[in-house]
Amino acid sequence: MINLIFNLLMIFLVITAFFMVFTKDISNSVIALPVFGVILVVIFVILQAPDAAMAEAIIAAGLTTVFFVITINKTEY
Amino acid sequence: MLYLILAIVLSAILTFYRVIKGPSVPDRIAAMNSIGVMFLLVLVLLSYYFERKIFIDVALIYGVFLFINVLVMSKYFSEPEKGGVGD
Amino acid sequence: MIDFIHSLSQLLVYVFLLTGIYFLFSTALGMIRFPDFYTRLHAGSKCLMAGGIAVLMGCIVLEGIGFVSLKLIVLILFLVITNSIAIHVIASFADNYNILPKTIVENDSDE
Repeated sequence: MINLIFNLLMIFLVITAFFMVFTKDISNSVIALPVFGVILVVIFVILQAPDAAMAEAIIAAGLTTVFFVITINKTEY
Repeated sequence: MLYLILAIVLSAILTFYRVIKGPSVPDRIAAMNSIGVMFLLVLVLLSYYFERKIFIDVALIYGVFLFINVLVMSKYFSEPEKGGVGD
Repeated sequence: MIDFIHSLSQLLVYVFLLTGIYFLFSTALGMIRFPDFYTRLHAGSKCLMAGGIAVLMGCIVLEGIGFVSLKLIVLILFLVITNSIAIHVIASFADNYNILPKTIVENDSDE
């Protein structure tokens, strides 16, 4: 049963990554980035690594998105 | 417990349809907020399944950063000729 | 007597968790099927918070009195304060995009 949830999360991760790469507008890509981060956090928790999950929650789901959003606002897109 | 986790993950996958096909940017931000809260509940339920209560700390930290994400996106994703929302 | 209280607690846990699953699934269905931005925001605010509070209350009843349930109560208070602020900020941000509701009420149509 936990293998089914793990495979489902892996498929969801691939769908999110393809949407981030192949969309036209750049703001849609930045909005899909925290979803990618939180799926990766849940995968790390299932693989019994809470410290890596905590670092992933801070970096990928928190700081990187904020930096990308402020950078897009400063430049002309 | 695992059936509940499976149901919440399926709900998050259904909500991701609105991120793909939202007509505008605020639709996508609201759907992203919903997906974040759903996976936060998945983290809390997984801590009860694995019998390791340290996983709740991951959920607390993720809640703080989800709030910061939504605030920053709503402040800086405005139209370029109108300026920011908060200014 | 102790056995009766234990079985009642188990029943309460099941009721809370199934209620939470129902509200979260109705959140996903509302995000897909509603026709308008503001109705989708309504589904993302109220149904989501009802599901989250129900699931976390089920976890508190399953845990009992302790340090972990204190953490879960802090998480409930944080979610209740945070998600309402986030939905309000998104709704005031949507004013820049000129999104009109699809079904206009009579009193709003003369603006």
